[in-house]
Amino acid sequence: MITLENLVLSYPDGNRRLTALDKVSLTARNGELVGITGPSGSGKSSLLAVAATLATPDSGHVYVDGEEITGLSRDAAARVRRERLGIVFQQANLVPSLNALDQLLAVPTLGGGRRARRAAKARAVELLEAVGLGAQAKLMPHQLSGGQRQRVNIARALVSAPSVLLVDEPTSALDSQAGSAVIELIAELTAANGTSTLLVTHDLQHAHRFDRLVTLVDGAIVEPELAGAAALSRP
Amino acid sequence: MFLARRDLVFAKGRFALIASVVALITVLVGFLTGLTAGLAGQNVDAVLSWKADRLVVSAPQAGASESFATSALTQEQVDAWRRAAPDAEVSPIGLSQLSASHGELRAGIALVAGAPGAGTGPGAEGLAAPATGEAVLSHDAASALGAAAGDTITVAGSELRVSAVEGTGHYSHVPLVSVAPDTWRAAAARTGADAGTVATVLAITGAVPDDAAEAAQRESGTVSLSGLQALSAVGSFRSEIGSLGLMIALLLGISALVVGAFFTVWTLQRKGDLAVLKALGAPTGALVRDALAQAGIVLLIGIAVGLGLVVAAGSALPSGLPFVLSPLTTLFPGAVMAILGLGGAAVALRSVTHADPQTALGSAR
Ligand SMILES: Nc1ncnc2c1ncn2[C@@H]1O[C@H](COP(=O)(O)OP(=O)(O)OP(=O)(O)O)[C@@H](O)[C@H]1O
Ligand SMILES: [Mg+2]
Repeated sequence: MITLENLVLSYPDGNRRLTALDKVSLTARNGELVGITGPSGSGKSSLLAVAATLATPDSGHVYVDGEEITGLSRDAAARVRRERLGIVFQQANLVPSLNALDQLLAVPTLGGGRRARRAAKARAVELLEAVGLGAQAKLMPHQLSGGQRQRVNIARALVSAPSVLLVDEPTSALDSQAGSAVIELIAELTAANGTSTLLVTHDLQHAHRFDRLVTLVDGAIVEPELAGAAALSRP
Repeated sequence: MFLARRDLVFAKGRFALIASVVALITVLVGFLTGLTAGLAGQNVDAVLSWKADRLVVSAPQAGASESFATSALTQEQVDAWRRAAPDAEVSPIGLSQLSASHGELRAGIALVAGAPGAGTGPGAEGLAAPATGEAVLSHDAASALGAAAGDTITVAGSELRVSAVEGTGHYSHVPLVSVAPDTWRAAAARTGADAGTVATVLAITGAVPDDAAEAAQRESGTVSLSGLQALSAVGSFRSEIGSLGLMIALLLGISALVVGAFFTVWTLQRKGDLAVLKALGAPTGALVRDALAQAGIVLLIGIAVGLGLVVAAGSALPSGLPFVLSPLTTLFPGAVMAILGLGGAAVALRSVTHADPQTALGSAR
């Protein structure tokens, strides 16, 4: 379970500050897939960055399974990301020198102890099977299609069996068919593993797969009735 | 080394290129150090073979620096030092560069004469001093003069019988010819040395109290030099070693820069990947260690190949050339290159710590 509580985040903007998140509170329970939508620049990526410990909020708190993860040191935050959070990037962001299986093993190997490494090895093979890439484990990123790369990206996020999955626009680089398959996959994995998933998307075509949909406008979560209008006003 | 190994395989071409550059610089450095050691040996190995704690020469004229070539010591000066250092071994050594002939052949030689036990013979281990009127030739002197034991050579107008051919000693790039002290004195007198000259330099082995040494210097108008200082009193030693040493130092600097530049570009190229790995929770320390290990592997391969070439080519060289192949001229510069290269890489890899994980999120790379 992930709980965001009263998050405020601002970026320096000339001599003023630009408020990217304005008192955002949001919870995703175990096994729950929460969609986050909103116009461009509304703070969706910023929200994920704070939830992922990659950005430090001006105020507010993030809890994973009841434990606060805001305000940690660099290394402690890295450990939280490695062990308890899964992050799926908008671009697949695969490392060009690693084959599909090694993409999954890199972080547990670099960061974890021997146990984490062994666990990751067993899980990585399973996960590649689960995302339908069992036969492509030895292929390099340039040998994979865009959709396959995005599936490696998803499998990589899940390798440490995280309790929280943070996903930023996973379909934007894919055609609609591959995009639907990816959303479908994330929904299935969320249910199967009981992860709390926050998924940012522009694309409301998949809204029916979400357990809940929240809309951000100018850094704040808006009421559902306003949300429809705001979401429709942008692509 | 998870990433390091896979990157090396993935970007073979680029890493092969930088490893070859390192190998070539290693070859250059190896040859220069071998040559430097060889030349230095031909210049000063006689002086080193004395294994003296102090070397005493006559005080230089105002504005000049100490020099074996201009030094001439009298019996009084020798005695002054013997009094100042009663517990040390004081050996008066005669040393002059002359030309010698044997039949048609002429060659420059260093005529050396020293007290027994000071090891002044041509070989590193030293020989008993030859009898008056005899000479022991070093191998290079013998071959330059085409002389063998039993032949007679001419040095400074007097004939000397060759009693033996031994050793490889050199002084100031000419081979040693060892004679008895009175033979040397006679030759020195005939070649214009001041009357009363009994030696060129005093080799002192053993402790001399500092104040006694001071007093002896003042009293006798001499200067005592420590072992290493003394080397710069050999004509060309300082300039020779200085310029070769400068070249070696520059090459070492260049290799550190080249390796640093390579890893700067390489890390810059990987910055996006590093940001992603960090965002996923890879500890910065592990990424830095991995990258350093990668630099280490590249350096190790390059240096090993380079040293291999130096050893192969060095052992194929004809023996007369001033080139020394030893751990000091191969492994030592290799180790220095590795350390400097890693230093260069480490500076470059600081940017690993700067890769911002937040840039990985939602950004197109
Ligand atoms: N690193 C940053 N420095 C300064 N301002 C930033 C930074 N990142 C985002 N912003 C600003 O914060 C606001 C929210 O940006 P964010 O990326 O969270 O929007 P988004 O909802 O993800 O937009 P999109 O749908 O286009 O991805 C924007 O006005 C943006 O310009
Ligand atoms: Mg965004």
